[in-house]
Amino acid sequence: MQIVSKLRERRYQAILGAIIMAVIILAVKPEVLLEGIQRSSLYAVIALPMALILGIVGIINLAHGDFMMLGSYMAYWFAVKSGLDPLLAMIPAMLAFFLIGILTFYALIKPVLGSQELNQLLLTFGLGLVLEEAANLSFTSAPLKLSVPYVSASLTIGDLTFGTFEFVYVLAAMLVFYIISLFLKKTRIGRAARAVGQNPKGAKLVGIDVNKTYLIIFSLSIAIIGTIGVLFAMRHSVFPVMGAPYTMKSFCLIAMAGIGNITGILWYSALLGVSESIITAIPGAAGWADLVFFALIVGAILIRSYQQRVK
Amino acid sequence: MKIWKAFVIAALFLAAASLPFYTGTYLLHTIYIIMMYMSLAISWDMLLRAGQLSFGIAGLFGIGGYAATMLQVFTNINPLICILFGAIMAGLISLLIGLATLRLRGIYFAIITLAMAEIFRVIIRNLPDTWTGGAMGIVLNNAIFNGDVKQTYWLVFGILLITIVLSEVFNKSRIHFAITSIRNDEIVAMSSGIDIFKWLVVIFVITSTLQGLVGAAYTEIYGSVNPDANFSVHYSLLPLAMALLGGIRSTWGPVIGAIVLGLAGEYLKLLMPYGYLIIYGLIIILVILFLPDGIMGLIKKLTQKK
Amino acid sequence: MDMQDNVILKTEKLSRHFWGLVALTQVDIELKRGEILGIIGPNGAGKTTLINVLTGLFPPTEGRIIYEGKDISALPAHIRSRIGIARTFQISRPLVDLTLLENVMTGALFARGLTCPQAIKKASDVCGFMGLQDLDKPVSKLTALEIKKMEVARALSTDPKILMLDELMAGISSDEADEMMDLINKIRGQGISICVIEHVMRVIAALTDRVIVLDWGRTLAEGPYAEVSHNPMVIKAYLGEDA
Repeated sequence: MQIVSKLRERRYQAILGAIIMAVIILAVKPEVLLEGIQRSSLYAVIALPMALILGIVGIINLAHGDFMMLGSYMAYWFAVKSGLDPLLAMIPAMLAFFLIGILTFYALIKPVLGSQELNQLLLTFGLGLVLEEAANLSFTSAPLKLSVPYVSASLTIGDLTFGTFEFVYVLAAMLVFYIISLFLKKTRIGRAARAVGQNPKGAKLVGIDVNKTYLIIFSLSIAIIGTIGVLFAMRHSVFPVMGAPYTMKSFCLIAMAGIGNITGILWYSALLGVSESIITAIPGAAGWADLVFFALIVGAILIRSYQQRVK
Repeated sequence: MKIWKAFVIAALFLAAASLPFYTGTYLLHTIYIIMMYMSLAISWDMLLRAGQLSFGIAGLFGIGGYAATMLQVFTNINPLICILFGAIMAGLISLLIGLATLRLRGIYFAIITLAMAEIFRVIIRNLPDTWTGGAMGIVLNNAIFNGDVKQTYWLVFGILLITIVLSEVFNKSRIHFAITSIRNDEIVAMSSGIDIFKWLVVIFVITSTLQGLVGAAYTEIYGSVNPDANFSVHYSLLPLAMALLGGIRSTWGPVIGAIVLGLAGEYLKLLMPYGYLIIYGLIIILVILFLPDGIMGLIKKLTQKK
Repeated sequence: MDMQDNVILKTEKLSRHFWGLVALTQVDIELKRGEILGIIGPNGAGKTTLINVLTGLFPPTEGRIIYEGKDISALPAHIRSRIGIARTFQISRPLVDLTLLENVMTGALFARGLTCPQAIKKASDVCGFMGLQDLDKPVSKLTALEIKKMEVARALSTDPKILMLDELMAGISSDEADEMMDLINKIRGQGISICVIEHVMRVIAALTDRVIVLDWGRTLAEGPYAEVSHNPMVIKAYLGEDA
């Protein structure tokens, strides 16, 4: 009886749906599911810091993907200059991007915190453009590729062959999700941040330093996304406008999950990633996979505007 | 005062209309390119006056261009009809997108428009090559007016005039009250009987049609389309920077911004063959931070103090 | 039938929840034609929510709103404004990029569908009635009283049958409140039914024919102010348990 009543809840329906879908795909084309999960994890880990900024600082960072692009270039530059494993670049990247986050916050974000949404969007849009073009001027628009032998490792089980390095993204997504959740629930700053996200004025009244909270959350998120950039560069080509689609897809996930819903991002990135993988696997349809996120955003907006009217 | 204003406007109009009689080809070409961006900048601003931010100019510009070129290839009718068709198609597509998304406004609408150019590009790439020419695009046999620069100039000037007149209608009629109410306070707007959704859809369609019109004219002038060139971020970015620099929420702000940035852009391109877009990005950031009402706002401030 | 015609607006078991929180439960009220009805109650009692639901800012969770004998519960706010339900706001909401006159014009333009010249005429008349001058002033230069009057004028320019005034007297002086009360009585004299939310009891006592007391989203008492103000439950609601 309890199971039946639990099935009425939307969350459990979604989980059940996901499991059924997974079983079907696993039976027919297991590599599609694996590839989809790896892809989903990458989307999730990129979207999480953006969701954190939007949920707590209340700013849509349209330069989000471009910060990742900077991280990727940094990994490339680090590996070429030092000759070391690019994975090691994660540590300096984290520190560097925390600083970049602080600078960006004071120079650009803080001045528009109280102003209209339109100004904030335009500002981060302008910032993204400046970052892209700065990369373009410094490195040209030609794609760069790191040659790290172990990233193309693959594993074959029976008929099934899949890349193993990509599981780094699964690990990263779980780690980042876990750290963010723990940070928001268990630490003082995290709890303060949640209060600020829900009600900045109220938080101020109870003595929380709202600006400092914004600063920490923003810089922390930039540090995460910059570090993800390093991981990204290990497996993918690096070029100035590589980040833009990820900004868009991250917003798509946030729009579907709802602002402030961190867990939802995991589920919806699974939906996005696996759908894309399925479409990519259909012969002749691969080109259409880039439309999936747009369809999902429009769908989410339609559902939300319908709910708004009924509510 | 009013007679003075009318006189100045008439003089400007005559000067602009008669320009081809005493100007060289290169300058005329530069001016009509600036005029195209000017139309895009004004139309972008018209939507902004209703409180909605669009990053999707390039998408509608590209749709207009593709629709016009495809009709041209399939029917070979008068290019002017093809241009009109391009504008209408951009309007229709914006109608669909507006109906689907404008109930949830603000950031959602802005992001949808941000994705638009890319989405249209993907669709064009994936449609059968026999329709769209695929990644290579389509090259027309002939540019409009056989490439005659004077007639081309008048065509673009005509489009600019339509845009300016519409923009002034937006500022001087009941539309002005509807969009200003919506921008200032949606709740008050509703309480005054304004159907926000309807108004926003209508205004999105009008401004998108204008952007499609410019895009269609552009392809007929250059005689070619391809997915990368016609959906390029340039066509979103430049008009946006021009309107912001000149001063938003007016007709003349974007006009001034287009002249300043259009002329400056010619030099920029020579100075920095690639990567010069960084200047436009910097302009956007600096205007937002330090000059929110643009050059127009600055002029107003300076003249009022005296 | 006669009874029905006498009532211009009524609610039937009107409820409104916000994400599980109850703002209004099972509220039944009636507004009679030409009446001034007061709605009072402690902070957070649901007064503004009631007006928001009646004017269509958000739909009721349950229950119905009957206006002129028709169920209008599902109509959006802009339609309700067009059929004759107008309001002012607790915290004034001037349209900052428009002048005083233009603010008032919006109601006439869109709720009444007038042309611009007609709307200018109408808005000037209403402003004259409200005693507003210098109609071309930007709203940033207006005094608190002028902004309040402008809000009433904006509502009146829609030619309403019902006018809902949400804490009109907040932030203005006692003399100014007297002036405003005269105006409200004049508005009633034009046959408009009025619903006032007010904290200033002097105003409620002098102005209203009847009051409804809300507490925790439900109707606590109803009747003439003199009667209700002696109701022990009302006194307790206002003073709190610990008083």
